[in-house]
Amino acid sequence: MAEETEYEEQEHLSLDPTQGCQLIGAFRAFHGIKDGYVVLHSPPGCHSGMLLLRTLCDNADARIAFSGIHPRDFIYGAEHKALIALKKVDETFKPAFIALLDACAPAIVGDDLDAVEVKAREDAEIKSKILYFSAAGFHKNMWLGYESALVSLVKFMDTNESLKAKDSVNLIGFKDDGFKSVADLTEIKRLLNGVGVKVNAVLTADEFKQIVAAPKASLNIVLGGDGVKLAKVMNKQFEIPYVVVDYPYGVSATERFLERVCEELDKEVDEIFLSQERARVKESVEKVQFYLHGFYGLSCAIIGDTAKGIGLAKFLSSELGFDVKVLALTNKNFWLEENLKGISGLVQEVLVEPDRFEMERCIANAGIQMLFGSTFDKRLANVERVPLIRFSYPTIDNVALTDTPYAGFRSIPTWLESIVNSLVSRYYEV
Amino acid sequence: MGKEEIMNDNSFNYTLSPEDFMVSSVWSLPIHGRAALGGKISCATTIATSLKNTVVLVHGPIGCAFQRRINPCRGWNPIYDMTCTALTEAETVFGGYDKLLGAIEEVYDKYKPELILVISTDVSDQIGDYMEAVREESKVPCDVVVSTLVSCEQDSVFTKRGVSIVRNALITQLLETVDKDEIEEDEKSLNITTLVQFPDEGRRYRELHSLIRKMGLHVNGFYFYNNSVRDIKSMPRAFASVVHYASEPWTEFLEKKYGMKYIELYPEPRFSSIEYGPYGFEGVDRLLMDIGKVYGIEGEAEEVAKRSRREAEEALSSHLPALKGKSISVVGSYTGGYAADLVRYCGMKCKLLVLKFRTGTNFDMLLNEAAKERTAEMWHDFFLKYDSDPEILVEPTLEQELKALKRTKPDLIVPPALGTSAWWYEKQGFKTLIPNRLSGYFFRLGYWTVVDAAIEARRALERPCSSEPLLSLLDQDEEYGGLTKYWANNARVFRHVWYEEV
Repeated sequence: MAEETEYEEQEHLSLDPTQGCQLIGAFRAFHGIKDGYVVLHSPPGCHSGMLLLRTLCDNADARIAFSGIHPRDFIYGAEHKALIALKKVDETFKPAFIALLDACAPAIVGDDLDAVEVKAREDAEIKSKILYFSAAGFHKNMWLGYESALVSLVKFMDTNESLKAKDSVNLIGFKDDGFKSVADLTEIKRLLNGVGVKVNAVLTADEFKQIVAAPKASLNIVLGGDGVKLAKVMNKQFEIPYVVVDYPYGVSATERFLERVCEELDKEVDEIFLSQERARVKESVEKVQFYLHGFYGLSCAIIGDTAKGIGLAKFLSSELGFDVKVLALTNKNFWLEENLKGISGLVQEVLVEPDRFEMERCIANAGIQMLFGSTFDKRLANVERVPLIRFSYPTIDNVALTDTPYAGFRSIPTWLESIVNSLVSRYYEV
Repeated sequence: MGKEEIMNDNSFNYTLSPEDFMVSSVWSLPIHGRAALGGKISCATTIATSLKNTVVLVHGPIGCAFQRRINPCRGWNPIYDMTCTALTEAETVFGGYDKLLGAIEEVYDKYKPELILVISTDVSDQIGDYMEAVREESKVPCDVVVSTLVSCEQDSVFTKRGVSIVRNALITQLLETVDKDEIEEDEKSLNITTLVQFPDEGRRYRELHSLIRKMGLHVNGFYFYNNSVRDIKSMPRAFASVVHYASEPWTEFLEKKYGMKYIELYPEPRFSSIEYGPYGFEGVDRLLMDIGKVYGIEGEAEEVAKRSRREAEEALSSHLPALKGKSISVVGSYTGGYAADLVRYCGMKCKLLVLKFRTGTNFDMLLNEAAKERTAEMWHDFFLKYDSDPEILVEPTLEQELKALKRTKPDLIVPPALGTSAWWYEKQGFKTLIPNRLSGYFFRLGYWTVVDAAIEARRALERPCSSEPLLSLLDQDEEYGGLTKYWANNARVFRHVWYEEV
């Protein structure tokens, strides 16, 4: 794995960014702790922005509060407010865990939040586990913030947990705010269960006690390379091996996913299970076979993060015969180079953390008939007059309530529905 | 009965669009002062979306540009071009001025805009970059406007809110070099300022536009609504502007530099009665007469006001038999709005007034106890004037409110514009006016807002209640009606850290 120092951020004079800052990355990681809470030490703008990112896709789950920094606190500091917010959140919601993150303004002022963390721990009234994570946005970008936030959880992991649970795995790099994330996780757990593997903890889409018990697992599965830094640290500290797998989009990737996991656990893959799953996929394919004949060779562009974008490019190219003209990776991860080797020759042009203006121009010039991206790509799809299939972060203009995953075997009907319907149901001038 | 039935050539009924319901959805999120509050920057960037050929350059880290694409007022529609200077730790120490200068040139090379609108963030405001200097130093063949101190919270004072700060920067900076003698003044021309919070300001101002034309005047421009730099530079052509608050610095600037008059929509003393503001027939009469006075055409203004009001009253009259004498319960805060119209013009009688300040915006939250008492008095005075003497409840729990409703048995509940609880009243068996259907009432100016309020009230009385709304599956918080316990807890935490622990 490449070291973080090799990934110094590119200097830009101006940038229309495709990813957020460290604060957003850290928030995404910590918010996945289902009985946890995030407290931002920030003015209201950062808080409302992140609350919106969550709430627009899930009206029921936005566990984020803030310390209420006013302009005068930019001068005098406001550590006491962070403590008040921690107490209030602890008292009101009684979370198992609270991540205290500072935004740019208090970081410049120099608020000592390490001291606040200590005070909070010493306060007998505060029952939640408290973690201060330095998250000021000017330090790093989103994916680096995400990686570091995951690693920061190691200090809570149970080091005395020596008894490894056989055939038990942790999923690392799973983000609970992704489009169709609930359905994806249900499917991934079902698949692993189908081959006799139990999911011990999901980092992060799990309760805090499961994060603490993460060292019980026999194997860490790193989805698409996101969170590999944590996997490496856990390997060193708890001697848990890890395997980096593609995000399981499509039949082949799902089969490979299960094979790799079983191989690492020294298990036989349950062929009966796989053949039953394949049979179900076949039924779906049969129902839209002539559309698939017709769409073979369709040109598309994909805008998404490294973990999911590369997985999707492989699926679309190898299983549907799409011509992936442009793959724009909105953010890197530490497994980027390995990942890129897997799509060598498959994608015409790969853009990594591009400027949005340049990315849109490149895609416009490529000539596509379908776009896979996020809410932020709505205008591009409209200008190019092509359907937009939302799959990447942030998707805040579509809700996902049904159990129709984009991952695993059961993802095939979902993808086929989305893709076929997006073209078939369009209005075409006669 | 539908609006279509009564629409004719002279009508200005508002036709709802699907996007209006998106507006209602976004405003039902508890983010406008209840469980969160957008910063000034979100309001500031909204302005930019109303300008043609303009690129926003946020002088800050990438996170600001990334998340500010999502605007609290237009959550469903991102701001697609949002460039930034991608400030890093180095700039927090050494300053980011040079980077900003370079970024302006780079942004120009890429987008070739007419205008680059530079907006500051917490970081650039704190490190103290002398951002204004780039207006002189950048060598780009387009206009550059710099708006600083846009960081942190929305202020309760309008002139310090993001929308005002950016409007002020745009107008004063773009007109800085435009001398009075360069302008071909048009004495019959008028500017109208908008709040730019909602889509399609043109549709909302359709009636006012028509009224102004009937008075023999014409609209020089809406500021802001699809404006080019040239449009802004043409502002001084107008003889006067309709403004929200004369205390906005740009109003004073136009007055001093070009002798421009203004007509203030919300003059001092503000919200001194429930009938305050340019709402209802009298409010619009006043506005037209104020415009007439400024242009010295009081006679024409009076004639247009009389004629137009008569047309709206005629349209209203067909709905009055269904409304007159019917009892209502008004749920509200300090503004009268359509609830006041139903009492003033439709002969409806109020039996119960429920004042709720916690379910509104930050303006409601910032009212102190004395202001709340004064609000209750204003409503009481208003109702007495129109032959009602309702029971008044202030910040009741849901249980208390329900008991009062059962006791007073109003024919119709009239909830506030930002209320999310029409379904709750219907579930309890009370006919309820649905505020979503009066989307943007407060952002329209004209007589026909009263007609629309009457149509919606009549429709609410005629149609059956939604007796089994799915939303009733969710438990409501007793204190924060319209919010679940979970969101109410979020609102309480927010209230504690933001409004109480100041």
